[in-house]
Amino acid sequence: MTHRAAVVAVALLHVAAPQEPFRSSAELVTVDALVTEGRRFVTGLTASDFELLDSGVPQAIRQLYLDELPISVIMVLDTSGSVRGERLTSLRQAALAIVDRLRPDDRAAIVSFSHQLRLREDLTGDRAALRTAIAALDAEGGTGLRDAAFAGFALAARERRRTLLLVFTDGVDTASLLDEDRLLDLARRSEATVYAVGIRDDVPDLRSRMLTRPPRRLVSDARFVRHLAEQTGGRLVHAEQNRDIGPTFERVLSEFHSRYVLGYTPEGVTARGWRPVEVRLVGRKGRVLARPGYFAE
Amino acid sequence: MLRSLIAAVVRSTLFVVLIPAAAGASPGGPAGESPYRDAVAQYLMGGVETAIDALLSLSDSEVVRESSRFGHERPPTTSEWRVWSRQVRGAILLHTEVWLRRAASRPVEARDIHADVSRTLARLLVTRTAEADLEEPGSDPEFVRDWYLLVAAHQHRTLRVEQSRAHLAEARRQFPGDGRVLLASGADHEVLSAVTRGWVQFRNVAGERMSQERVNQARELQRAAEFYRTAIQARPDLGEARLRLGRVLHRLGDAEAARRELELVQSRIRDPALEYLAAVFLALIEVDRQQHARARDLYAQAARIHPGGYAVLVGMSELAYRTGRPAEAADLMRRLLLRGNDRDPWWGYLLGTSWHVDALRASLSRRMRE
Repeated sequence: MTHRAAVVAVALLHVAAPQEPFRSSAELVTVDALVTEGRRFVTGLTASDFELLDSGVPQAIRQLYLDELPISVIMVLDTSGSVRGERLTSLRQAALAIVDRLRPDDRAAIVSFSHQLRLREDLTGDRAALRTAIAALDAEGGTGLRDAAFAGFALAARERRRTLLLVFTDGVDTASLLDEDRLLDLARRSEATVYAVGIRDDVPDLRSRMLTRPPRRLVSDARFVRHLAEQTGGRLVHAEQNRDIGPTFERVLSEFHSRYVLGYTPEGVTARGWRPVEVRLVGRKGRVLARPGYFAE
Repeated sequence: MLRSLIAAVVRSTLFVVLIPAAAGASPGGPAGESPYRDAVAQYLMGGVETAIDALLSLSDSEVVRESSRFGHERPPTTSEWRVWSRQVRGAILLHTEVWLRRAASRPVEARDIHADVSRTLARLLVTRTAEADLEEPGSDPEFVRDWYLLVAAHQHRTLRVEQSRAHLAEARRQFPGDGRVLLASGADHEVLSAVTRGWVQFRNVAGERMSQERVNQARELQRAAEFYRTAIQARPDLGEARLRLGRVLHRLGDAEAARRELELVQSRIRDPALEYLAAVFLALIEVDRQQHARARDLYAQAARIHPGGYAVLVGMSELAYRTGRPAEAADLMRRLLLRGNDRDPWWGYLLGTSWHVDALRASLSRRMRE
């Protein structure tokens, strides 16, 4: 497809789109999908390049968007005691980089967590307010990672736009009321996409008084946050060191912008509750990363 | 009876006349005899900071030498007991005060002479009580038991679980079958169960390394449950043991057994913190069972006790989220996120028996002067 034709096709698709395309409802289900070939994002695909199955039943893709729609970014940031010092500085810079890359219609929120959760700035397009909130971040206390992730889901629940939940943690959860299985179930019910950023270095975990360094390099709660992200069609990305946190955040945002949004009206599917969804490519190579399903109320 | 009384007076007088150099005229010795004894006396009279300064001005060897006199002197007689035991209690708490203050800023492996001395004196008090020919043992054993609980509670508050394990094992040896010690032991395992992965370097009471173990959440929860059950057998009135057992059983996947324990807390215990947490923990179970109306009622009960509490707001937000009320879920979460909540009993619960630190400290301070 030529560039001009692509622009026309996209414009037509855009005109045909309903006003609030991102609510999975009886009328419309949307699925975020990242297509890669090796390390490269695949762009320029059309609806005919995809096959989408809902509960095993093929569906007609009625809408397809790529990198055009406004987004909300909810940053859920670990500010427990282990994040003090250089790591906190790097985290602030990383969050500021996200704010700097927001587009005019984008919004962002800052939620910080130690054992307590705090909304530093609610969803807003006001960059100055976001920058002020980021500058005020401090680090102390335990790690309520699971409760904080749920806070992100709860705030995202009202959003009628694509929402990226960017969760940063360097430690293991020690303070949450909600357990892992519960959180994974809540993640499956969310329409937000979780990208988790962990850090891989040899700084002792936040309970450093208790935990020793294991024989291998210590990582954050990788297994859990990976599963959490996968429930939403996202993934876990590692920053190797503190100075890599910023570039990693930017890479996450780029990747989120590179995801296709597929919209369809379920046909031939009537079951309530969990519906598995599968997105495949038709006639070409590549890997698709998308949420595994959704809840139909 | 009169003859034995006279004999006792003669004996004590004889000791005074013949052995004046034996660490003072009687066990414990009068104030003014040594800077150490002065420090203890200051502490007993409420001069906490003066006493601590005086104690810290002594060298470690002086501290060890002087404190060991409590044990090297002849055992106190019945008439001397009260004075002697008061001094030992005061010394135990004075050394503990210094130890716990310093612990926060020291590495976990650092040995503290005041920890050693307080522990030695605590053991001495229990031993002498058992050996003494007292008509009534008095409250000394309970005092030492509560000292063990205070130290464990402080270790939980500062997350020194690698040391509290050995400390509580010693407490169980000293006070086998004691319900409160068993409760603290269970809480010790429950604290560690919050960490799902990693390693723990356990240390003995002297701070020396013992075993290094990989954290196993299920194992810690099971051990916690065993201790709580035993604590309840010893003390069926221990509401906190039932509350914790209920929470642990839920986390182990036995929701029915968990409900039974938590409902017992609700029906029998009148303690706002325990009632609040029991309601929240029960609500979480009811959400799992999809009994949403019941869960809502339970959260309402909890909210009456702690309006705006962290745990109840997280729970209510989750319930709204699950039952298709996203606006309400978001609003509840915003309330939580914007106000913060340091006073929710959940924070105390999370850190084992830490929420008893202040009460134990106050109680022991009061009782050391009895």
